[in-house]
Amino acid sequence: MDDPTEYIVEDQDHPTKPRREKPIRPQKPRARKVPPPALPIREAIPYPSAKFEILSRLDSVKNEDGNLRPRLGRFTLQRGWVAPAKDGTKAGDVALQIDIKTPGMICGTRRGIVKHLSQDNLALARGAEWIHAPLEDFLEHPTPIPAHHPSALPLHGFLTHPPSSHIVSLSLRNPHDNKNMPANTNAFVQARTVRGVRKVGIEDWITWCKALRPDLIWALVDAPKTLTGVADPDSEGAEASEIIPGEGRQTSQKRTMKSMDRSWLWVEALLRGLTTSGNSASPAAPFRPPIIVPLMGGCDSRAREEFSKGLVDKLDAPIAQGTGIALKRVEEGVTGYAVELADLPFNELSTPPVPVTDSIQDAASDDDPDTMVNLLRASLGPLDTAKLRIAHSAPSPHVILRLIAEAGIDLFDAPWIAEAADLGIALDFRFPAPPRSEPGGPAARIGRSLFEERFAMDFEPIGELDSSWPCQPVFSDSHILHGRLDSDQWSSSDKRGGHPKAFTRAYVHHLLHTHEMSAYTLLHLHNLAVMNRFFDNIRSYMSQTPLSTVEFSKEIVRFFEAYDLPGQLFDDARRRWKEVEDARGKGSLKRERETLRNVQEAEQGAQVFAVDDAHPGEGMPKSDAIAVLEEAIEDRL
Amino acid sequence: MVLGHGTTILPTFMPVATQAAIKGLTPQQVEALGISLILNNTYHLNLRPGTDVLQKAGGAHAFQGWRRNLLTVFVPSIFSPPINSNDAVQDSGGFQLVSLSSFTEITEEGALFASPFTGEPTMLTPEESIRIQHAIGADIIMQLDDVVSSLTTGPRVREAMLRSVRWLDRCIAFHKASGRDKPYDTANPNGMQESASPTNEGQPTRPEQNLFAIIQGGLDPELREECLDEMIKRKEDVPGYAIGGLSGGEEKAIFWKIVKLCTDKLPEDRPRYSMGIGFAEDLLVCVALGVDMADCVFPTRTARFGVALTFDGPLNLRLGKHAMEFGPIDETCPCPTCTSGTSRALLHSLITHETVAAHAITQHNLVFQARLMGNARDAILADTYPTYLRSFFARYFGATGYPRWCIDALKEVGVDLLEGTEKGKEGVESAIGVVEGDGARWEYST
Repeated sequence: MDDPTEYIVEDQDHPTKPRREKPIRPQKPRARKVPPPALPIREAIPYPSAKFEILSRLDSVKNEDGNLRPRLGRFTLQRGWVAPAKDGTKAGDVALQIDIKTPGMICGTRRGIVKHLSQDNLALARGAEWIHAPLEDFLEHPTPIPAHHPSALPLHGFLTHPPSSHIVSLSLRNPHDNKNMPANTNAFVQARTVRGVRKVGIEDWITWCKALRPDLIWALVDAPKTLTGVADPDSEGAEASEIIPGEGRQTSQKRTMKSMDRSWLWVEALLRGLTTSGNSASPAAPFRPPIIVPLMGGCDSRAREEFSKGLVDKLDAPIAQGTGIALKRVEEGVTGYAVELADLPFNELSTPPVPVTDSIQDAASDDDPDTMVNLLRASLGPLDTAKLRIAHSAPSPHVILRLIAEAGIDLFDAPWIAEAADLGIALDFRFPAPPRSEPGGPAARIGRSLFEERFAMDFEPIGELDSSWPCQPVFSDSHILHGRLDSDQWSSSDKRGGHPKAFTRAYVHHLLHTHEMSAYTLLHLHNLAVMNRFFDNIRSYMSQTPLSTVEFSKEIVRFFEAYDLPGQLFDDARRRWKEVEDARGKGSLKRERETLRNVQEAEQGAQVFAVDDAHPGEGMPKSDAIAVLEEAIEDRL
Repeated sequence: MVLGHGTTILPTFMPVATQAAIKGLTPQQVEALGISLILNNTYHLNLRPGTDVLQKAGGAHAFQGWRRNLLTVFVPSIFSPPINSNDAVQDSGGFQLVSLSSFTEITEEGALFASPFTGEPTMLTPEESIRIQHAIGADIIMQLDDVVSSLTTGPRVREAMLRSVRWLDRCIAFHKASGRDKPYDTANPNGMQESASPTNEGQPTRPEQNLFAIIQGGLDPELREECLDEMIKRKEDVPGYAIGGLSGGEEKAIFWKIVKLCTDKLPEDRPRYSMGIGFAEDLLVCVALGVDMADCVFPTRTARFGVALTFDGPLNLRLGKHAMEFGPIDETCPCPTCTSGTSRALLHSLITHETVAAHAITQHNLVFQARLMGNARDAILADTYPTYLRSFFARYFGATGYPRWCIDALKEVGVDLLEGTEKGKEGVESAIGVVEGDGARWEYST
């Protein structure tokens, strides 16, 4: 049953009670089917080196932990080589570096693809230089397909992200996914694939990381995704429910401890597994790829502190690394840390910060050790302050500001940025917030829902002119020529139509209402650029001197006053999106597909109650059999 | 062909931006592909965003940010061919309008439509269709015609043809009266022979709009002849001709004969536009028959279903056999998809999940169509078009067999497709198979 290629398909009605499908066994391929080829042998190229420099820290007036002060920094990924061929198949010897300024952004993706942006449009994007991909999106195949790509950097090569301009990092799971999953065990983590849930052990993770060569690797950790809370295992009526986003996932102390133990082990195993004895060709090359460790401990500040301390404690056996000094602590071998907000009570950050002043102590947050801010402080407190800090799934620009100010977070990603484009929202906000037209008036929204009828005749650009490519589009001077006379089409004397104008709200409104995909491309390009500008704004604000945390937090309070949280804007947009979706009528292919999918799901659902002879719960519906098994496993551990 | 927004070299294929956007792409991307003439759809733009918005935007060029040439056709595409079904594709042969009769009523005054949104009847007269196209401001506009399905027979076909001629007269009259058939310079309005429509006061220089006539007459050669005679009489007011009423499911063997009949008769000094033609073999045969322009949603629509066009035949990238293919769709293709290292494997893994795959294949397919036509132009210039046809068919159909109708049609213009491929003269027609019927070639399941 530990066959790593075994799939469990989640039961939609009972998310915590998975059912087991017949395992897919690649060793017994169907006739005529060729077994997957061995991974290609690639040129051994050195790992990139990662450097994080803190350029300045805001002065702290209050006598608070210096570790958590907001800081300006620069993350540098340096490759000792560059791929001259576009597909990255040949390694050259030119050093190449990519700088990411902090506070800044990481672009979260599905399948490593920045939503709606083909590679020529990705080149126009701002704010997508660091692309993060979850491996689970590729795990519907026994070996993830990109691992077979012939290029020296297979993940870059497969996804067509140029190694010269883009960082690609990899985690097993999508860090935004807070849906319930079957239980992890000592041997594996449950990953979600399009074909169901799949078990991934630490050895698999090491193998795939080596094969895929992402620039940065997220350590495999055991983040509990089962619903526990105070659930009484005997009470049949206890409905398994999803966690409420922003309220935190309540996990039993026992489960938290288990998660920490496994995570420590796996982080250490990853370090050992990826550390090389050095590269004789390039002796200066790093011994291992840059590694980011997600910080565990759930919603318990003592546990979080304990987990972080574990990373700093001496290892029982140092990790040898070539001629270098052996690693005595895990922390010495990692580049940075990640906080996964999806399962934390981040809603608490959606209120204006209590401004810190010289005199008034921020008493509220000190009372309860498990407030969001205290959880972060507990995690970061014991750790080396010079390491990179990444927060996943910050729910709003407001929360991003608070995380910078109160926990010194350096990099952010968020699923709502891509969602905004899908919902027809053009983001529009700045930091510091511009002065309000009428003092005391209503707060502005952080964007416009271009589905709204009022934009049908609005020929203004979708955002300010300096904000994004769609607001200042440029035609390329080069055109593909298909025939000998084609250059006549593009001769300069023939260039009519003048300079391109910004794409207007009216045009995007039209595209949204006619279901034209170009709308999403334009909006996502725009929204990424607006986020990028927001971080630019924050960095330039923070680089003013002298500036203290007091002034910063006052400015953040002003931002909270000036802009509403995104909730209402997104809810309205979802409603409008739905209206248009429905109004498109029966002809919509999409609706047909959905109907089809529902039928298919209903058909699959019918199989849930099939009897599986191989399992101890013989004669029981499959999902119950699994539940029995899961409980048995949990008890043994 | 020099139009208000630049030069377009003919013959050419025109991608379709039904609702003022080539599916998923920006105008900048489309232009970079080497495309200088696209289509918008009058019917759709009139429904959304409507002429008020277009007029306020300063026309469809400005509205969608397209600075090159634009043509507007009137094609209610309520009919939606099930492209992913093998049979349907081969049956329909094209994706132009088939029949309006289910939701329109044609009278001498105009066409009565039911709005797809409200069901309200709307009268569309020839004058109104031109007025809408003035608001859109395309460089080439089309007359309103009375279309019947190419499968229709009987007196209705003749009635439709004659009405199309009468409607052409009304379109010409309205168009000339508006002054839109001439360029208009705001800086020098007195230089104009006729007054501009008041809605465009304050607008910058506006190029002329060219009204094309549409030849009707169904599949009846006599009716086509009659229509041609009538419409050619009006040549002075008609800068170009379209061949309409085809691609509605008729047999290819009849289709090409009608096209040839039209191109034989149409004046040399007017561009000929064959509506709704998009398959590679159709395009090349039509070019051989003397067609200059063609349009079809096929290359963009098929892209969204994961089908990439190549000179070796279409590839269905959804098929599992592409899952591990790390090469591009076509090594020799200059499109952004093929030159960026985008592999068949990547497109296979994305096509059902991410819009990006559709965008990438759309770019590739548009470049394929443009290369097909660009190669045709060069071959015509070099006087080697027959050689080009033979080499294209050998690659594209070599494995499956040549469509019979292509062989017949090309023979009619003096090109023997099978030349040089014969094994022996007697008995065996060719080493290459010949496919009877419509012979579209699809990789849908293998």
